[in-house]
Amino acid sequence: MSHFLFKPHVCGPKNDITTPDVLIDRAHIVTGGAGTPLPVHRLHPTTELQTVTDSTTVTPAYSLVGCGGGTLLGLAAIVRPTGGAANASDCVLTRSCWRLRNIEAQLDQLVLSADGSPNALSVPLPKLGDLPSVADDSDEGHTVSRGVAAFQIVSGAEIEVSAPATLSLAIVDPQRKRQLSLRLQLTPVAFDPWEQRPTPRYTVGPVGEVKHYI
Amino acid sequence: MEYAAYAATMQAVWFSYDHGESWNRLLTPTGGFYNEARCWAVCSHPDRPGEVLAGTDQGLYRYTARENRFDFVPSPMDDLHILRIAQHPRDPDFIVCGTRPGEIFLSEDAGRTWMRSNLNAATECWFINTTRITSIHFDPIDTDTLWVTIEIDGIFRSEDRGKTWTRLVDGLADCDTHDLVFIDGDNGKRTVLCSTEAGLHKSTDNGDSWSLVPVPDDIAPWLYWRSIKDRADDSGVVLASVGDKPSGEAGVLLISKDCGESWRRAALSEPVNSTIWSIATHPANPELLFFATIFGQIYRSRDGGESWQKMRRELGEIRMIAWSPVAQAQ
Repeated sequence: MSHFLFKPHVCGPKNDITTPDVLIDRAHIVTGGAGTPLPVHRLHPTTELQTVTDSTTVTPAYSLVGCGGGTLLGLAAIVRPTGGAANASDCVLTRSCWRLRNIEAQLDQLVLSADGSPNALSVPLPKLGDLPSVADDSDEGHTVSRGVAAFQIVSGAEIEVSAPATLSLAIVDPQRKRQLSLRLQLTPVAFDPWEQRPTPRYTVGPVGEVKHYI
Repeated sequence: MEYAAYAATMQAVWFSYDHGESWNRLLTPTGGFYNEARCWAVCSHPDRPGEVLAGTDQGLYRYTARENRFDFVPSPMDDLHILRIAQHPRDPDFIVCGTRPGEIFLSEDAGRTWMRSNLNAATECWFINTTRITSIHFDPIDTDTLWVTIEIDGIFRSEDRGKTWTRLVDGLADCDTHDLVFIDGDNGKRTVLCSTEAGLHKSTDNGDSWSLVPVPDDIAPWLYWRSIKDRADDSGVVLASVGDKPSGEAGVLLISKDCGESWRRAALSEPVNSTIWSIATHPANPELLFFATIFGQIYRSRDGGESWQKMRRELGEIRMIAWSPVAQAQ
């Protein structure tokens, strides 16, 4: 079974940080309550990406990750060639996140911004009950099952860019004056910043005859 | 002066606030840092008391005394071993990190954005298979110049803040290089000392060529020179560690009062258990130094390196030790 090792830094209400490592083996891109499965090998925290088409669509998303101490809320970016299949996207997720239950009461105050400008994204977390791997809403709030990550796309937030491009995304918590940030650097795959690539070298420590371990 | 000492170990970062007598990690559940992360580097800057950067196998972290926690600093190095960190002497936001595989990453905005330098280190090497950055230095005179030692690939110098590099290996008996000391005389002449697996080397032409420095066997019984540091008072006093081998059983600390021309052994309260891996000095008090052996011993000197007292507490494998004044008492 494939998995992605998620290494979050969970910032709590007292400004302390816990660091659970969580295996994710099911991932979904969620839009309007409907989910599209995403292969977990497409999840990663790498923010410098190479693009293969002239136009790339970047869709900011809330990430929800199932975790024993309570679902984690973070920031993610769904990145795909414009017009490409959603389940062939890269999903970049921040390692910094919050505990959902600590912020649930003010979800409607969170602002998802792109490039420093608020992008009219102040929406409550939608229901996740339609997804078979994810529990329905309960009295305790949203619950995401063990090993599952859900990436809630906010409608109308798609950004089309042509690499090279840099995008700065953030989820802003105005009440606690903090934010989760994600800075994406997109570079055309054909671009090589190092024009001359020499033959790789093998070096030896001591001068003279040595036993090689190849 | 209130100060804190820091130890980068194979079990995260340890702190001491009582002159090295006792050591603790941050509270395990909430310190922001996995307490068994392998940590190879700790770096502090005189302009940022109470702040420490830590290089680990989990990424780059920044500790601040005010928050008393580590904050993760996102970077392209998340999946690499961050072995060395250096900050520009007058601009703590200019950060240089060295990794395994041997690469250099630079940030000029306190870690918000990063550039991977075209170091062109060897992609494969003898014995350890993969190169490692062992030291990073800003040139004391021209701080746009960076120096890097690599095991196993020699010495590299950049004169343009890390954009381009020159490999300097002419005359080195061994490309397994560990550390550098720069001695700039009043007459404008410079001597650079380099510790290597095959002994101490010296350059008098700014690194373009090197020659082995003979040190008598009764002073340095082995050839494995590891950490070398000039005492932070421009006095020309240099300290160096020599061990039987990287993960061996014996070592000595040498002190030179003539810029590396001659050496004698420093007085230790008891023998070390392995090679001394790291020596810590700070300009806030050049008389106060620490060193750590690779297998967990910590020693303190309060007389500029002449004599050393072993601390009772031992840690796991230690890769670096450092100390710096703190902004407030802990």
